[in-house]
Amino acid sequence: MGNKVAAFSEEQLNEYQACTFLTRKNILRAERLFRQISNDRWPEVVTRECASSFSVPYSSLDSLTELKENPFRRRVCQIFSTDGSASLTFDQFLEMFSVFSEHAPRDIKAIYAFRLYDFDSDGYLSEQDLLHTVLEEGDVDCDGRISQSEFIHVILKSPDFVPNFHIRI
Amino acid sequence: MASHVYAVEVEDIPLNEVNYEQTSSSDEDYSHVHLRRARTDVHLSQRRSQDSIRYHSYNGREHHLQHTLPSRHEEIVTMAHTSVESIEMQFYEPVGRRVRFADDECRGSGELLSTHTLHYGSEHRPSAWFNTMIARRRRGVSPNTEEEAVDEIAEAMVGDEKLMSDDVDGELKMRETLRELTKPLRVKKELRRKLTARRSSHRSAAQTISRIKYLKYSISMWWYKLRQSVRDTVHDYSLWHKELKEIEGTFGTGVGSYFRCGFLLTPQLLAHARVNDPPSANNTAALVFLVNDGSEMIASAMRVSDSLPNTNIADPSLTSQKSDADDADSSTSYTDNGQFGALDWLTGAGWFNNTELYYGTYLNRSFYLVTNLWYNIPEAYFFVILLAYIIYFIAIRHRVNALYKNNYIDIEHDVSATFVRKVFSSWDFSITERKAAKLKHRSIYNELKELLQEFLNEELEEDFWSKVIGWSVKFVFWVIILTLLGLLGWATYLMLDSDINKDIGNGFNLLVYPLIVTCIIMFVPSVFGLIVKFEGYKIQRHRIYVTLMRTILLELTVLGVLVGFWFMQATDPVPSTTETPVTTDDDQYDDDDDDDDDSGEFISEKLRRAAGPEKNDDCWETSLGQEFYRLLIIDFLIALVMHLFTLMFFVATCKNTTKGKVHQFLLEFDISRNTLHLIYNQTLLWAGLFFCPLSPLIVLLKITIMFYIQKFSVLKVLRPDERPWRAAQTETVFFALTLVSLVLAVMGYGFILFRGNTSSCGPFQNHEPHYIDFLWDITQSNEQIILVIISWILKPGVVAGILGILLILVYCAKSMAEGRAEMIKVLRRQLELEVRDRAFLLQLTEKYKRGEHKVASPAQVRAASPPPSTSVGPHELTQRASFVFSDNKVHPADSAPRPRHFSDYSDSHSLDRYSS
Repeated sequence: MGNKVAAFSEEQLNEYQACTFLTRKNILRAERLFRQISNDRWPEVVTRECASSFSVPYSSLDSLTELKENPFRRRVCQIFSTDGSASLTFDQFLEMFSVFSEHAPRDIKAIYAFRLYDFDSDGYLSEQDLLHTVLEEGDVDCDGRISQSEFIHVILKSPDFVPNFHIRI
Repeated sequence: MASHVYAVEVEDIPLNEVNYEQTSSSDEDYSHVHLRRARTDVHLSQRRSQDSIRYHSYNGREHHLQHTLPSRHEEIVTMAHTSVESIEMQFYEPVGRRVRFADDECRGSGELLSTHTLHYGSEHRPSAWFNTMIARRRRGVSPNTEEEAVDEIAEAMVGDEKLMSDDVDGELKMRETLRELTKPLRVKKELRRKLTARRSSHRSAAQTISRIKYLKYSISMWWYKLRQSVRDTVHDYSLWHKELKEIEGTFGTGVGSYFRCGFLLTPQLLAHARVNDPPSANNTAALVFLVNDGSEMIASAMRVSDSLPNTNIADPSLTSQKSDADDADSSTSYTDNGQFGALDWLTGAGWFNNTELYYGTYLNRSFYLVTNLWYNIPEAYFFVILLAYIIYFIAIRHRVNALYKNNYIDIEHDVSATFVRKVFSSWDFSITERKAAKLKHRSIYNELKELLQEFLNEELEEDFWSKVIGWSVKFVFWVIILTLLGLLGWATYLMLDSDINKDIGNGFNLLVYPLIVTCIIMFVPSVFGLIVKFEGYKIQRHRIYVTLMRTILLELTVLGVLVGFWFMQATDPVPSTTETPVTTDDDQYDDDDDDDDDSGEFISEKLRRAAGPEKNDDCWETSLGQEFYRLLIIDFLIALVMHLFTLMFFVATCKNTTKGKVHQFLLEFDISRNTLHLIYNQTLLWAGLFFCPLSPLIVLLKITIMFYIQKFSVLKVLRPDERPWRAAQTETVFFALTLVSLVLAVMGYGFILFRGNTSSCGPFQNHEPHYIDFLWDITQSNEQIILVIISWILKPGVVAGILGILLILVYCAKSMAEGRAEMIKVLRRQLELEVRDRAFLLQLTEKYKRGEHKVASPAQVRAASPPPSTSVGPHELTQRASFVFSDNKVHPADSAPRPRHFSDYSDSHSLDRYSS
């Protein structure tokens, strides 16, 4: 696969592999996807700065096959973008797929799932985020909201969570 | 060593200092409430006094005071979560398991630094760098900018000698840690750069590394990288990646898992069955990698094992056939060489008789590969097939284990939060199609509705008589179905009997039996599906399970009758030989080869008589192999025809309707039926493996073709089931069934091997009277010791002893599980009590603020409260709440008002003002 690696230097690829749960091939696939939605403004050879500064707006992320039917797509993009604007740089884009990949341990998945459902981003799932019944069940310490550890505690017991929280890239 | 460091750090920093601090701090608000041993609240006061702004009004948002109560109750949640292992250990290190801290990245009041604790469970302490971080946070040091954060983590990691150690462990550990950091990629990259630089400088500074050490390092690093790349390539190029994505996109994970696990069951399954548990700690990392590696080796071995029988055996036997062509013995069984008809493809008879497809073709020979190396076919045959079974067994058992653990055991003791689970984990993120998304919405809706229904129905107790009626109806239905199965078995037996007594050419007659059997197996399950609806199983899942069980029984009956019939054909005519040999010594058979040959001929004569004059193969194993071959092929054909039918049906309905309505006419794709079909195939494979050693190849071919056909029809013609398909749990059941069928097949073989008479063909032809005797022959010819060991193991006393030990182990495991469940309950209760304490306290503070209470004088407090005890046992913690007030009333915790939520104490928010 030597000639496909053109977009990144070997060093960059190694770096990505070391920092994410993706395989080399997946990283390249993600790169191709990113190229697709970036309207040709994405350079042929990707430098470090470019990967962390060039961002694609949510309007084009929206059209991605992997996301377009997902009711949470805006939230997904939001939790991975630093400023909450839901536009992603390539690094953040890759990170998203890393979390959703099947190699990612379920605890990591659970943490991001928590952020996903924490719509007002206050670190708790409270009544603004949830229905009352759900709240009462998940709230182990009865303080009226679900904290991150409570969430992880509950969600990891769900057999469907890990297979469902997975995007095949 | 590092754990020691850890203990010191943790014990030193927060507790003692803070205790001291509390008395000296200016917390007048709380001084009227005298708490004994209130660690949580101590932390609270510390935080409040030190950095309340950062903790409480982080990001300009006001947070409630109790949000930031640090570790205690969270810890208990974690403990309830991980209490499966070593609860006590956790109790004595109450601090610093997890910490939330302010950070630029996180928008809430805090986040987990990494998944460290949860991830590694409680059996391993958090690593040193993590504790350093915690200690810094507790001291109130926290970074303001991202660079600072990176620097801090890097610093902490450099300080961790495990992470920075020179060996491969350190390197790997570092990778893991980096990956599992829940930080943006930018931060991780920065960190990695820093650490790598530090590492290399570190290494160059310590030039004392010996050459051997360096060599060792580079070898193991190289090995790790090799493994990683192999794993990655296996994952990347795994079969049908694109197809699976497409299917999952349109149909959701349920159907996807059918395609993934079902089809990959045969060859490829285990590539996905990697051990899910990540490496636990530094020293066990290597071990787990080994396990990982092991399971992957099994995976690859699985793939190899499919081709093993034909490569290892077929080729040598070919050569042996050539070399022994002039041998009279071998030529007898190949009388009808030559002509090859088209029908042979279906019947598996005729020309195929001579191929390596069947048992009978393999010879009892050993021959020389090279001059000195001899190759014994019986041994090879026996051991390769044994190996294949063992590998299959390990693979499937491993999978069942993992699934069972994840989907049943972990959930069993904690069924409280079904709604939460449903709400948070229902959405399937792999869906990419509008149609599927809509369907998913509906299915989630249905599922929730069903759940609510169950929830509401729970209270409705049935009265005794309706229960009795319900049970008797079920019983009657079971009896009916079992008799039906018995009749079916009898019918197939009669059919086989008449088949064999009839004058059989090579014509279509041979196909009648498999055709009928396949039809039975195809269509009777749908009858079962209909019947089950009248039986009054209330829960959908139970219906599925009952149908599954019946279908499996059906398959087993049919296959059992088949094998049993041929087996009886082989044994019945010569009852005398079955009685004698069991008790006699093995030595006897070694000496008299002539005797063996005689009796072999005797059997074959009888067989010939039984099988009719036209059947010139005197080898019942081959005939049985042919039956299996026919079953496989016919099954395949019928499945093809069925798919053709659905396609035609689709086309026919499409013509008459407008485009929008097409969707209604699509047939449903029934996952459970299709999966059962796969299991049936698998069972055929296992049952036939001994008699038809190339059957894995056939099944492989067949399944590959079926995959594409099914994919086409699923994507184009069928529509997914609307009923919720609990993929994970049902998958477990399916795998368990597969395991059961495997075990049964192996047991059947064991019986045949030990009790069956060898016929005059096949690799075991000269070992009389039982197959297994060949093993004794080997052991006798080589070493006596193995025989001694085997016979010792088979002694009743030893077997009973082993069983007894197993029983004790099971009992221990069971009681341990119960104990843990109990512990979880206790912890939950404790948590609740603590929350009540806190709520009560807050309420009192409010009251005090309003001037309704007065502070108790120290003397009164001392009088009212018993002297503090020194040790903190787990259970004492629950009883610690007894407060003393100025009105000399002692309020025990249990008499305190019990709040459901903190929102009941709306004015408690105002405490924040006190803190700042």
